[in-house]
Amino acid sequence: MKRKDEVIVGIFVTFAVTVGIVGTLYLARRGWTKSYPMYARFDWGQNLKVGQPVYLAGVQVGYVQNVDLNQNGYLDVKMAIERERKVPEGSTVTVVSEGLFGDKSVAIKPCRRVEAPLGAVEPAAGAKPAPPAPAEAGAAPVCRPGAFLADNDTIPTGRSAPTMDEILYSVDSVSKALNDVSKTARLEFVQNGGLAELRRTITSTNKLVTELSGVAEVQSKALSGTLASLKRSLDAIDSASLDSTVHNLKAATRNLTTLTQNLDSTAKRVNSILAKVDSGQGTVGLMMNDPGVYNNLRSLLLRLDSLTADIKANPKKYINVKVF
Amino acid sequence: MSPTRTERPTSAFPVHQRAGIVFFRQMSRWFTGLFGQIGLRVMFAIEMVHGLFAEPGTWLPLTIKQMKNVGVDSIPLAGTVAAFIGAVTAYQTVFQLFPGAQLSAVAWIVRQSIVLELGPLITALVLAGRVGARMTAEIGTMRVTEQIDALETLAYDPVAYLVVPRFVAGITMVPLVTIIAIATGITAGGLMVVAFTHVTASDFQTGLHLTFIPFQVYYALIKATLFGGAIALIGSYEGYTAEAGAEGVGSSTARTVVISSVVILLLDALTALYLAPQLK
Repeated sequence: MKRKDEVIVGIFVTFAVTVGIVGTLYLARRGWTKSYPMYARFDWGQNLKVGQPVYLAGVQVGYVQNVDLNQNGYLDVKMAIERERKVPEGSTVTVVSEGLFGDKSVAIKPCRRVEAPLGAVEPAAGAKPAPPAPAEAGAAPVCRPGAFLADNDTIPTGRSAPTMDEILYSVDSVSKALNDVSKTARLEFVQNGGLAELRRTITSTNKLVTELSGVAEVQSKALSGTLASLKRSLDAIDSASLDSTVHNLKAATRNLTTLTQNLDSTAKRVNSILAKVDSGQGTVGLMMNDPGVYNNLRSLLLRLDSLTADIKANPKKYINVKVF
Repeated sequence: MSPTRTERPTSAFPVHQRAGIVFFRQMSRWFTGLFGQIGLRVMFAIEMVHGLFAEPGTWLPLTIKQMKNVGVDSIPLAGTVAAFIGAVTAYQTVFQLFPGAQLSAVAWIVRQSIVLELGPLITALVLAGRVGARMTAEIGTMRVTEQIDALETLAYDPVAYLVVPRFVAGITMVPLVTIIAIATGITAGGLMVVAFTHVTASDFQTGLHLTFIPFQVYYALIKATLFGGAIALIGSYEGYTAEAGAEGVGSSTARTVVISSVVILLLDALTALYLAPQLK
């Protein structure tokens, strides 16, 4: 009996101690998944705790293993990442809020993956990959295929979402500005009589609108009369006469077109004649371009002039009239 | 008035003065009795510690039997209680979450509740009723049947023979029973919410790991050790000082349960006061 008690107690103690150790290790190591350490550095005040999850592109890949308070204003955070998960090179890490309790988690934002356009030809095996497209401002860097951060590496810190304090600060500044605006409005509209002026302006505007309505009514009547007269005038126009007039106009237009064509051909011919004249071809061209003709004519005229003068001076020399 | 009262000098005092004197007299008797009882238990504890170190040959062979009584035989009751508490706590917690809250918070709340408080405390209270009362009844029966006097006659140290094995069994077995209770409670809570609510196993597993540090388990074990020692010491003392007759044993047993429960709650509060800040 005593021997049996010893065995039972031994089994129980072994079992309970095993449960205690294994359970504590399970809770402390976050399961039995093998992991490797990665590091990140954040500013103070991130409310990070040991055990909070680490997400890579929204999928939990590990947990916060240790949070060390760096006296230089940083939190040095050690993360345990599952062995089968790799963090792409160019990824950034931020602390994000999770749920409504203000819980935090660490989010690893991976680099940008460039999608090949539809129908693009896949590069051949072993071919050099195309250079990545330049990153846009504020966008994550482009992934380098097959490039991952090494174990024990530090993931660069990204730009985190505004904290509740920052949001409250913004809301506070906005409400302060609104308060200033309301104070100014109160000063202008109530204390300085702006409201009374506004009322007077509205009254004046109402009167003006009333007057304009009267004018518009009169003008509307006049416009109605004008439209009626115009309609009557249009009705008075004989459509047959209008048709023949249009027909004649069309014929005149055709004649004008023909005339223009004739003028055009005539001008072309005149141009060709003038070109010949300019080049000295033909009689007129020779006359126009030969200075000898001009000189001959000039000397002829001079001789005619002298002859005329001589005739005037001595008419009997040339005119000898004999009747018989 | 009785003759003895008339002899008291205060009997000549006015009524209101007499009432005040009687009140203070009763208070002083009550405090004297309270501190006297505490002193008796402390003296008993010192005697037990002396026996622990002075006569290991006496208590060591008897310890295994007490360990079985305290530990192995308590597993069904402690496990059942812990399983129900874990399952109900988890199930109730699911419906306390407002929309948008993380479902993993269920496991976190269940783990923190059971590891830090409910596991050690409920186990200790259950064992106070089961183990403490049994110790009182056993030792009290030996007292009223003069078996303890016989031990003294045979040159045995009755404290080393009867109390020390129970004390050692208490401080070693209650933490182990607590570990089993904690594991059972968390497992039952997980099974309950995964089977009957929209909480997934993944949610529960995530919440179990959240903000866990090993000191939380050490904290629970420290509490359980203190509770185990208190249960054994109080149960043994009440039996050891039981008055003659079955009625004396019965009243000692009832007193054991009451005092053990109060002391367990006091120790729980004191432990939290001193050690809870280390849980950050």
